[in-house]
Amino acid sequence: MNTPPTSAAIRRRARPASVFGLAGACLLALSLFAPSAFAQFERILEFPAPANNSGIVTIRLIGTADLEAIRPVILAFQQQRPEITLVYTQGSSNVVFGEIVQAQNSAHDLVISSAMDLQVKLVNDGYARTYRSANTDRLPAWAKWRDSVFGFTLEPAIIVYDTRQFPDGDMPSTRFDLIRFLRDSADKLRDRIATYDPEVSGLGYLFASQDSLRSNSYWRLMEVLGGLNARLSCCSGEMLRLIERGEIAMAYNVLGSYALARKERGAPIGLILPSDYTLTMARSALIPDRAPSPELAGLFIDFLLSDEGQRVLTRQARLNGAVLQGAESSEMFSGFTGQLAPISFGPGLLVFLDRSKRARFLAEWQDAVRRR
Amino acid sequence: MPKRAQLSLRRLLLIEFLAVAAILASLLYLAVRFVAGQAADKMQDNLLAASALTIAERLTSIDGEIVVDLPYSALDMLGVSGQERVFYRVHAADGETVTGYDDLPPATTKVVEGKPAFGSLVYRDAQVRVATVRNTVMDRRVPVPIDITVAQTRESLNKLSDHIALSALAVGFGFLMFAGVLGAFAVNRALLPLKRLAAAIEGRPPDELEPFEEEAPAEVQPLVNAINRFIGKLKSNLDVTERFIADAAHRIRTPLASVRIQAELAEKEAAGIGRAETFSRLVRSVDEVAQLTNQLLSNATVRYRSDRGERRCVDLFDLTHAAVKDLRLAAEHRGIAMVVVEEPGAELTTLGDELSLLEAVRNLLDNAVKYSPDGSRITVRLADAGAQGLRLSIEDQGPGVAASERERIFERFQRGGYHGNVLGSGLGLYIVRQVMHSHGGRVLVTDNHPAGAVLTLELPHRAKK
Repeated sequence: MNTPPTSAAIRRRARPASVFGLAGACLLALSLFAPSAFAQFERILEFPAPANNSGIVTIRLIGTADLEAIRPVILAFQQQRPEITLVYTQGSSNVVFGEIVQAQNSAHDLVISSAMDLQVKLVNDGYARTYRSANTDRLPAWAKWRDSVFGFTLEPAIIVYDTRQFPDGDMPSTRFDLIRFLRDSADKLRDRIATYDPEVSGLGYLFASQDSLRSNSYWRLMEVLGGLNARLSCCSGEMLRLIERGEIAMAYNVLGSYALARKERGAPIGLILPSDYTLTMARSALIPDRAPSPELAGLFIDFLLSDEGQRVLTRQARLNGAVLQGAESSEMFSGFTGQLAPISFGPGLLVFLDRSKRARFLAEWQDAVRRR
Repeated sequence: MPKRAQLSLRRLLLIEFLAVAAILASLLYLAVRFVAGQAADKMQDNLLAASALTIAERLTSIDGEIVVDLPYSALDMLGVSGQERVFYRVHAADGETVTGYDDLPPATTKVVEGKPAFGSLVYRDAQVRVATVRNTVMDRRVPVPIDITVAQTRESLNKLSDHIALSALAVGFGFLMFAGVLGAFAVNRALLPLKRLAAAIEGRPPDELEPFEEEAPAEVQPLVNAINRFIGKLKSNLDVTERFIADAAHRIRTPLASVRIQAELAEKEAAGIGRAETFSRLVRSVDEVAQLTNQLLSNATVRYRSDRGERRCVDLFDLTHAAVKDLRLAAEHRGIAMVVVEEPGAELTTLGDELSLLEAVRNLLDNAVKYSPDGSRITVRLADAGAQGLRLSIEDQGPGVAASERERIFERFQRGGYHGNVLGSGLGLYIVRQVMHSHGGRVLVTDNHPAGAVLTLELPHRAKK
């Protein structure tokens, strides 16, 4: 088994639930004290094949999804395919991208990332293989590109708040209203509001850049956040934890799937899907050009896109596998009457990856948000 | 006899038509593919140029640094034409990249300010179409030319061109097939006059040898003319034959009439002394009729066989001996010796009809025997005369043939009747000449020394024929 060349990789084997639970608690503790550093580490988890015979094959996955999220998906896949061992390496979207682009890299069979723009760039620059099957043909046109990258979830970017802080539930529904709300509740929210740091998080940058295209009030909103001394975070998970711990009262552009999962576990979290428009992104899978076992990777993609896979993604992984059925019938969007703004796979996503453009955007963004 | 497969005009036309159709279809496919490709190129070029221009509009210079704010629409608009990969590069004309894919080559045609340049090349293992636009940016009063290159792969456009070309091919092929069916009808109709002509010929009774007057199309007229000319020849041939038969029949009547008279007289003089005289005259008349009839039949046979045209190898030596054998009795009866002299080592085969040649040689020998005095000698010489062919000459010691007669004797019925005591039909030498003509040879009359005639047959060698 190859160890990818990163620092401080923690290799572990999956053990019975109790041991995993203990290890998980340690990881969680670790995450509380080093939130940004945590994002750089790669973690590798091996899921050995349940079968006990000699025809065991291995799929190597690399992705941005949290281990807790991907685990039920992998286990469900192994129920269908007990002869396959899966090894999952977790990292941030920029790190995952870098791994694939490295010239001599051929260590991974499948890339799963929430950074749609980076996935499109991998395909555009020739680092991906095409794959077609009955399941991929069922995908709507916006959810795939060049038969090389396949979206399998439908996750919105939402606003979350601490229900304990805002018990009466009179919350803004548009960004325009949000700006006014933030000013009115400045005392509750100063130093206690967070959003993605686009410089650090690929997904955060994607949401921010897409917001800037769609919303007239986006820069105003950022300036207001800056005025409230907003905290910048690497990840939705962290922002949600901060809310749960009462350290922050609101967060902007958090992944709705994670938020819903926490809420259903009893966290005091309120969800707002902005009705002027709610951005949705699709987590996607891609087979690298030099994948050692592309056919096996294809099997995993087919599973993700199958009815069973989508069900597991929604119910157990809490990742809203609704890319095939659409938003209307998805629990995530039940009761939502506003505009959905799905980000679709295409060459347009390359624009904000342009180094000049990115530099300008981040400079402007920093200017707005960090202004005191 | 094995028959070769008959040529079918219809099948020939069909094959030729299909060949032409296939060639035309291929040309059509190539032409449409080319035109469709050109159109697709133009379409893509316009889009690429537009994209480059939107980028060009966002060029500025800030503190000595060239900066470009890539508009979202620049690459998003390229997404409209399908699932192609896109590449772009903004660089100073001297080569330094401002942003984009550093190794993207510019358009292959010359880049001029204000006019997009285009090119097709291979980048990252894919066929791409490239557009480059030049814009000049003022950097602290110094104009800096900046090139914006936008490129896109061509997979869906190639597929589109192929699809259009194949559709055109299918339509073109359909039209060609339809034209083929119509063509088949046209050919059938065109060949109808031939059918009508055949029916007209079939319908003619065999004795009607008049030319065909039916109207025929211009292309078939030569055939009708040839048939009419053939009928003309046939008719004249038949006319000659009929005249000959009429002639011969007329001539038979004379001796037959004579026989009749002699028979009557014999009847009347049954008891008279003139009986022997009468009977001998009767016998001579019968001989004449018999001789004439034989020769007529012989002539008819010879004509028939020469018309048939079958040729075999004939050895003149064997032939001569057969003829000599036939006449030996008649010769010996009068003490005439017949000698055959053969050139040693000569090859005496010719190509021809054995029966006709035998008839000719017998006729000559018969003449020789008839005109030779008793006890004389007839010499038959066989030789290979080189360039003049094979030579068979019969030398007799009879009265010879006067120079003035040497042409006449070969004509029909010129001799007729008795010359002195010699009975002839007037056909023997005529037959000989007919046979020689049909074998490509000739017959000559010369003098024998000291007396008599030499009748010579010259025939071509077998090989020479």
